[in-house]
Amino acid sequence: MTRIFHALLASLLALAALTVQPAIAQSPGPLRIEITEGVIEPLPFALPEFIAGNSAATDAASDITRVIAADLVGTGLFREVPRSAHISSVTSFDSPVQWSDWQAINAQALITGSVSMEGGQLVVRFRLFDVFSEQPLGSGLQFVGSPDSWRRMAHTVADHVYERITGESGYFDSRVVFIAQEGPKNARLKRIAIMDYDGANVQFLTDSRSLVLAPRFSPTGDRILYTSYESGIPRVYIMDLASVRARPLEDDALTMTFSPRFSPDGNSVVFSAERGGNTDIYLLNLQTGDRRRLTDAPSIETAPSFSPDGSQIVFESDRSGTQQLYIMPASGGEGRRISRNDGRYGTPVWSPRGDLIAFTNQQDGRFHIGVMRTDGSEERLLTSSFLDEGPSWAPNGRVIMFTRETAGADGAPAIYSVDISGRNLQRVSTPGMASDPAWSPQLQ
Amino acid sequence: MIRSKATRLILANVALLVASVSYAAAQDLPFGWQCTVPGEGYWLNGVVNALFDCPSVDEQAAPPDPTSDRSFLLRVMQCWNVGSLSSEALQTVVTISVQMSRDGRPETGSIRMIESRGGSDAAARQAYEAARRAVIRCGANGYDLPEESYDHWRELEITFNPEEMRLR
Repeated sequence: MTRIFHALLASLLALAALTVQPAIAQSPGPLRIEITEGVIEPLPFALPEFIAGNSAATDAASDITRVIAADLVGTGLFREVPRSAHISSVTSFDSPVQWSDWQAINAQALITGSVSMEGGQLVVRFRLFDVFSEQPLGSGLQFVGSPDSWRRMAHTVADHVYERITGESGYFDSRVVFIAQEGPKNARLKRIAIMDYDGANVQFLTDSRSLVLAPRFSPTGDRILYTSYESGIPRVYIMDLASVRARPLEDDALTMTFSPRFSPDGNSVVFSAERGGNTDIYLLNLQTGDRRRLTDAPSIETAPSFSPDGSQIVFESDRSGTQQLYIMPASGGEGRRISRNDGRYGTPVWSPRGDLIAFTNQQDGRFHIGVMRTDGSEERLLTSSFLDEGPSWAPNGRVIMFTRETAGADGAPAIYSVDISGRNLQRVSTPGMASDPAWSPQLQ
Repeated sequence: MIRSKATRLILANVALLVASVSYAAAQDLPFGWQCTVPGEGYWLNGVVNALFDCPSVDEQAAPPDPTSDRSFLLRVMQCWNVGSLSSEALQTVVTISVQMSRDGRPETGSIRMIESRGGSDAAARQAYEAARRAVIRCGANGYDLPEESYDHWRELEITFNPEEMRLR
């Protein structure tokens, strides 16, 4: 019996020896957690005034810092921590970051920079830090430009900050053409003007002798198309922005042409033309002068806009009895209807990303700016007012500018912008009444 | 009728082994045994703990407290800010791993992205950075986690899934 007990004990010990090793080697696995809810808030950043490297750069350092902050805050995605809350002061571009001081004021990103005047050129340097991770976000960058270009340099810094944090390209270094208006509603004078995206540096491109409408940028930002009544009927004109010289798109002075847009390669223009009371869409090759008819229907087809890859065109048509949106191949054709919900749809514009189409919708006496997928699904109305119309995409496809007009005899148009989420609706600063905004591509 | 003592001894060992493997499987321990807190219905716990010289019940780590897990989750949720993410990053699910110190603070240098799906590398990087900021920021003063169950939360794998946030 004792032998049996010893044998059993030996067997158990042997079994233990075989199994104890993996038991010790294995530590408990990680605790796994899934988080599906968070917050949607502007990201707080600290932006101490850029260091002026010399006295000639003092004003520029202050101005550039101010524009960077305005760019970022204006997106609605960022919030500046007031300077009065700063604990650390940055006295040198190369001084180490006092992480705990910035963490204490809950600054999640820190932007530091310097500006100096060197050999008649403005030199701007900046760095971006992730405060709580205590590490830089990307490398520091340096830009050199003429003192007059300080605004563009500020926008460029803001674009880099925006891109590094959001993962999307920025849109601050861009321009907007629009119709500047003055005078009473029944005798409005209109001129084409151009400005920075934030309303700065306004310049007028035409005088107010002729009624002008709906300017559009070329894909490279060097030319614009617009519609003018200079000859008494609406005709499409093309203007070179460097020389500010314009000419009619076609020699035919008897046909009404309007609603033009460039193709993505800039070599063609798609537009509407009216012949015999019927409006259809045409394509003009700017190099050969060849004109091709893309639609052939007794209804009104207008407001064409290319997809970014140039393969398709979205347009509006009243062939169903009310204005709706259709997509056809760039070579022309019947088109398939994509708008399906209530009301009338017009002024479709394809997103630079290619995934969405912005449009104007009118229903129940109100106007809306909305977006839908290119198959018409996931429609969302972003705005609502007495009159919202004419959307134009930011170069990164994240923001839309449009015209909002107030009601009544004193009603006046103004330019507004809204994020594609429907948030951050805000009025764009212009010197007076303004409408028909068209956003440029990102400047090079 | 089993006549041989040696045969009976072998059968007893086999029975013990089968019971042990069954126990290990029931405890989700596929690669071996561990010291465990005795649980209802598992009579073999005592044998296992005795075999491996495990500490007594009083000496062992406290069982995981679901309340503390929930509390941790709520804290991180408050700091997971997706407001500045691109629409592509908002379609990207990332899983990060993080080692925690005993005082409930995340060890910043340990944070790694171990998986992402649904977006490009650039979108995954933005999503990861937002997740990392959330864990570090809300853990700057230490999460309220019970020290007695440190082994339970010393290593975390947190998946940040923005699907519901995208729809807001």
